[in-house]
Amino acid sequence: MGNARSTLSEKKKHSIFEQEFIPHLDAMYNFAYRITYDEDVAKDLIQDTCFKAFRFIETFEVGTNAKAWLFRILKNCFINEYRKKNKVPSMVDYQDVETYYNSDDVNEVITSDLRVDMLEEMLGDEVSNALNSLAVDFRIVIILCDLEGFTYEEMSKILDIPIGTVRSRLHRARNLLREKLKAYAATMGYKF
Amino acid sequence: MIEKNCNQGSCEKAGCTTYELKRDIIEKVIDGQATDEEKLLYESFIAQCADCQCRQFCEQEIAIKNLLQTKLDRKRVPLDFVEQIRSRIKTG
Repeated sequence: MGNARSTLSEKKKHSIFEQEFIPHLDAMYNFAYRITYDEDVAKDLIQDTCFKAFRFIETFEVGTNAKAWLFRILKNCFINEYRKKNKVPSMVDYQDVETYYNSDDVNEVITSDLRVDMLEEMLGDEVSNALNSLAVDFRIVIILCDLEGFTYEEMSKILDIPIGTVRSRLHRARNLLREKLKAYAATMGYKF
Repeated sequence: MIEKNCNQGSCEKAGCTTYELKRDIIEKVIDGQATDEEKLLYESFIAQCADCQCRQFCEQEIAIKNLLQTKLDRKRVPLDFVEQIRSRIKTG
């Protein structure tokens, strides 16, 4: 098996990269952005992940779960290279919302549609802010499960932790999120 | 399976599992990872527990998941950046 893999031609490697890996770049970028909240750092992470994935492409078995494989590399890149460099994700600024509500703009002539758009954007930010305020380990499990739809087993492999730890971390993360979004969820018509 | 109620009187019924066990099943169902047997258990206890804590927990779990899935923008990787990666991979 190992010998067979090592005989992959350059053409075949590029073909695997194109067909199996490229389709997951959006999901990877979304994940990288949500854990770093920095577009440049997210791009660096994606680039490093792609280079590593290509370098070790012979260890990838075609037809298996490429997305989980790539996310595992991405998570390792994040932990080994970015987290250790103390590239702490920047926080979304609540001040922006406060500034808007305290500014004269609120009372200025503004089309109702535009105001609705701005309000909706801010309400969307409510969820983003709540997610961003979680510790990165909690944020990661939420994103993997609720946004990317990975199974507990896949998450366990991506994160190198037992399924029980995945479950308990997810549970704690959702409890924190629930507390933060309680008021907002109620305004959206959910029972809380 | 009849060990204790799930913190509210309405759950003290035959066949009622503990709150923790129910919570575990609820999470699996909401995450789409419950077995057929767990789905049946879920349906039976949700039907029995009209207003109890596990039903409230279930509704909140669904709400959180819905909010995350509907209110967060999905960031898309810039197309020029994809081309940049392709080109760098090709040139080694």
